[in-house]
Amino acid sequence: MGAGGVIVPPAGYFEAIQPILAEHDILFIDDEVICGFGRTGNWFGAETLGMKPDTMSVAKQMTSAYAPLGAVLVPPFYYEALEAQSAKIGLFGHGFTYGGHPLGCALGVKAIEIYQKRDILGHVRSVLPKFDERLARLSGHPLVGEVRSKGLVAGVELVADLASKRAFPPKAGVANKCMAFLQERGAILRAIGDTIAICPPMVITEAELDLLFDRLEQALDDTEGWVAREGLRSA
Amino acid sequence: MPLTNVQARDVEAVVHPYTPLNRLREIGPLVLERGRGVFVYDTQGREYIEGMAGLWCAGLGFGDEELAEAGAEQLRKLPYYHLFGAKGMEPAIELAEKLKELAPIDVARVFFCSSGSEANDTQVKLAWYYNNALGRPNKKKIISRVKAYHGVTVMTASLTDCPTTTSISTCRSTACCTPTARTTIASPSRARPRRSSPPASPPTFAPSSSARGRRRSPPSSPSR
Repeated sequence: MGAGGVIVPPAGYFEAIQPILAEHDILFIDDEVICGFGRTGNWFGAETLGMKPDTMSVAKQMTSAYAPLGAVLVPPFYYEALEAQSAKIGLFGHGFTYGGHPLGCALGVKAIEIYQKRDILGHVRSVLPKFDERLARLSGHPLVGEVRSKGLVAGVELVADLASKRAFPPKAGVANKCMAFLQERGAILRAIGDTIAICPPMVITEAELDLLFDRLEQALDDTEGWVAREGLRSA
Repeated sequence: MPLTNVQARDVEAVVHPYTPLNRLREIGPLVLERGRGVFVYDTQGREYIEGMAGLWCAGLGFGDEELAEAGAEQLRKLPYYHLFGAKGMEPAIELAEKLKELAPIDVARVFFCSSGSEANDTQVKLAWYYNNALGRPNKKKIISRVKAYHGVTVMTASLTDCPTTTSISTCRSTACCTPTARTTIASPSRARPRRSSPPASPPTFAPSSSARGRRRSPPSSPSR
């Protein structure tokens, strides 16, 4: 899960729940909006996490975000139902004015072609050791309670107390303050609650990862100083 | 720091999502002008390394000439058309074919929309539509997970467990949008149709035996 704070399922999670879904005839919808198109080092997050969904939602990296576009991948049994309902009702009564916009679709075709010919998946896998190494280094910081990642997406959760993982008061906005320091230092990340999300363009090089993480470490130090000055740990 | 001219124009004209609007004048928007690779540049010419691919999306970074040119070419050729009423166009066909080829699941067709929110909103409609076709009009519950984020339309915000998102757009009072974000997979009974309510209409459709072969019928005994 991405925008909820980059929550990574434990190993075996989907293998464990899928038989339960099947037993109760529950459809499995896979939201690939963030993980699709190479983010985890495979084409889709489902491949990385052992998921066998019935259907998938895709967007974002499908066009590398150069134009808005989303899609639902419709499995055969769904499409049969849509056809059957059209026979009964007259037509399939759903769609969007800009759904399948030629600009988005042309960019989607080209983005996928580029992912393939420049081997972006291979590139992601090749920079992962550097990404993971720099993430691991953050674990030693006095503000960092937990680091979560899968492929080239990570969440760095800031806590008031490393031992108990006690959170800062939400109103203190510690991660947001860290983002302000980071921006002053020339980098952009995103705070979700007290988690800092990291999800760089997949084309990032090892040297650029070093630059990003150097600036993040500096911003964390700035934040640590601010937390101490404001006495936020005692709150 | 006083706002620059472009920042002042921004705060007077634009609503910023997921932003403390009461503090916008004080914090000042970061107004970006151009991008190249993993770097973006503000209107003052300051460089930032962009570690979020925008909103988890600009996979090729900023300013990829080959990609931009493909867009420009399409805009000159056919800048707009739609898929309603059995209309089609080459880019949609080609992309749908690519997606069918790449997906790790069996894909019959591709439904296009404009965003991930719209895709997930459509997923809910299709799941309901499918169950209606099967004569199971009461099988409508959707399970999502704690801390999930699936979008900002009324329906997808209802599947999102994020207080600042749900506070603005979840209609918790109606039967169709009972809060689902905290319904966990551990209580599957909430996702099943009520056994006491018979189908409102006979099924118009039965899945072919091969289509959903791996799925079993709902168990006859009540769930745990």
